[in-house]
Amino acid sequence: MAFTVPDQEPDQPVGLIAGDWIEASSMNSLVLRDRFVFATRRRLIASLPKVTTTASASYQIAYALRAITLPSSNGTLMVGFVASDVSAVRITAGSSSAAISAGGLGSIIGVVTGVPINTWFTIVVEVVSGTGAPVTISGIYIAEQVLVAADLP
Amino acid sequence: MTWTKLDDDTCVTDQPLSAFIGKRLTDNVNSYAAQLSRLSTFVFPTTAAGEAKVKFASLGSSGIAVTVDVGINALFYNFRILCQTTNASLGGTFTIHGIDDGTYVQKFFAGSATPTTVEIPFTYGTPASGLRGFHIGWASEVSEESAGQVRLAGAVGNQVFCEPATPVQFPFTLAAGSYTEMYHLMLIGATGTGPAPLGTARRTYQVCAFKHNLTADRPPHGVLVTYGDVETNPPILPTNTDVGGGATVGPTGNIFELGRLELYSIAVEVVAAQTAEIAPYAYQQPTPINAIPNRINAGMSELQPNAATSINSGGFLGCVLPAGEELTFAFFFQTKNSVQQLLTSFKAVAYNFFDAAPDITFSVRDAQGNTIGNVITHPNMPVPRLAAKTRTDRRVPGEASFMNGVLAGDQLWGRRDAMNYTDVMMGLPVRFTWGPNEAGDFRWGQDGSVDTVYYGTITATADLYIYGFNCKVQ
Repeated sequence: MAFTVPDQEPDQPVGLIAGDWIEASSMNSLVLRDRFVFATRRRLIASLPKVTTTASASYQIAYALRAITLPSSNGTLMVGFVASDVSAVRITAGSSSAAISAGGLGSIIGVVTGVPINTWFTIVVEVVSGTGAPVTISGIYIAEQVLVAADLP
Repeated sequence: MTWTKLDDDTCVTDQPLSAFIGKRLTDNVNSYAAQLSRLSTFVFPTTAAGEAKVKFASLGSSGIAVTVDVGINALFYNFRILCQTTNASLGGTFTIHGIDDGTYVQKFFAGSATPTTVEIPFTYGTPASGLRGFHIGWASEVSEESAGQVRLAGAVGNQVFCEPATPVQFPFTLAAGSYTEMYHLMLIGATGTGPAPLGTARRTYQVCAFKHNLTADRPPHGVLVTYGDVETNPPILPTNTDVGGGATVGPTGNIFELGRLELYSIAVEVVAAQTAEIAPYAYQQPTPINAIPNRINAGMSELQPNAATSINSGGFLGCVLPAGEELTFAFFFQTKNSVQQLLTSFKAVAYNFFDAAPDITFSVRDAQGNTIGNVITHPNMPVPRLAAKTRTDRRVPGEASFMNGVLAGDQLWGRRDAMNYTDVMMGLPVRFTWGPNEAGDFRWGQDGSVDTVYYGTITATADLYIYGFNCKVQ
């Protein structure tokens, strides 16, 4: 049987107490829920406050922090933000780096791969305007990527 | 124990499968507190070149309050503070207070010229679940040798008038006509021909700024801005003493440097829970969306609670929220969970003298700025007013008040918005519960997706200072 992770949280069994006989359907629900919870309860790395870029076309450092991922992380961080105009956010996590670009008013989610697992590392967050004028980035949200079946033991 | 896959490869021959699965499920669930332990990181802004913007010295312990969702029955924590000091050989002492039960731990940091991680283990008095508050304070080390002396010529509130001592030079870097940020201690005493201060009052003050007056024949030549008023009722600075030849002198202020902290980030890791007391539904841990919702807005004149020099920038340790403006934080969801509920909490203090009890509003927007679901308003919140630390507080309706009276006009701080432990306790807790069953669903945010990031907004009808912010989804 393939080892799967449901993409929606299964219903929680109710009314079970120790010593009860558990029907197969209830046990299946418990197993699915166990997979779901373990795969999806990932660490939030940082939720960064609003930042306004300068008009410059060069990246400017906005934040620097230390972080550590869970031992069961797959080494990928997801990064999302809301921008008021064309702009980009570059994340350097350990020795890995990725730039995520927003094409205009709206949001975008990207990833940084190859991030250290269960080891403290430094993250540097840089921002840049793509318009020649200051752009407001309402927040930069960095979280561990949820696991898929291939990531699980 | 590590989390393990459930399959019948590890099932013992003839073992009842239901018992096997039940045991392994229980083991897995009980390991969640350790395997899915929490990390909350509070990050402070930097300059474009990567230099910390949060820089402050403190004669007593002051700093920041943070709120952390610690999960279930958390007991052991590791704080990792990424910081450096302006003077590599002059540090200070961190004090971490558990706000809920008063447990605290201290650690001395000798100082460093480069960003350094200071690790501070912390153990709560009892296992704790859910939201827990911490105060991270910094008390500066004082230099052993004086940087020099000034002659004191009287004081009004937190402003001490002074003249150069011999030789005729102020013992610190000057910027003529404007304020120079200082992170020093002043010890008032008698030296040489100067008289002794009067009475038995306190004689050490933190100095946060200095203004140099170069206009001819218009003494004083300088104003030192202290944190905390110099006592003037009765005055501790005596009338100048005639030393002959028509000259008079006042008491002497000896200036010592304080260790100044430059702060980048604070990470709070829940190391392990007390496994013997894991709750039956330990796996039901909500996902935190916490942050310090501070703002970077160089165009606004705003308050720094407890700062001796008011500046033109937002709060950096907490958030200065002017009336009618929006505080925002962004987030996205990675799972199709059927129940989405945002729980938002923070503490607030007011600082304007004339502001009435404010209405505080929370809403959620999509990436285009469209409101999702209901806008929640708490009317007439009894937010306490943080009293000014000096009597030069501004009390002009419609303008931000300046708690300690000095308009610096640029980034001259001293203490910034560092709060001490007792000030932190006075804020009004404000909580919002948004959802479930709101009109409109959150979409699943995946790699490469567009418009699946949302943001929460907080507004108020009075100027507020917000700290200890936390938001989580469940």
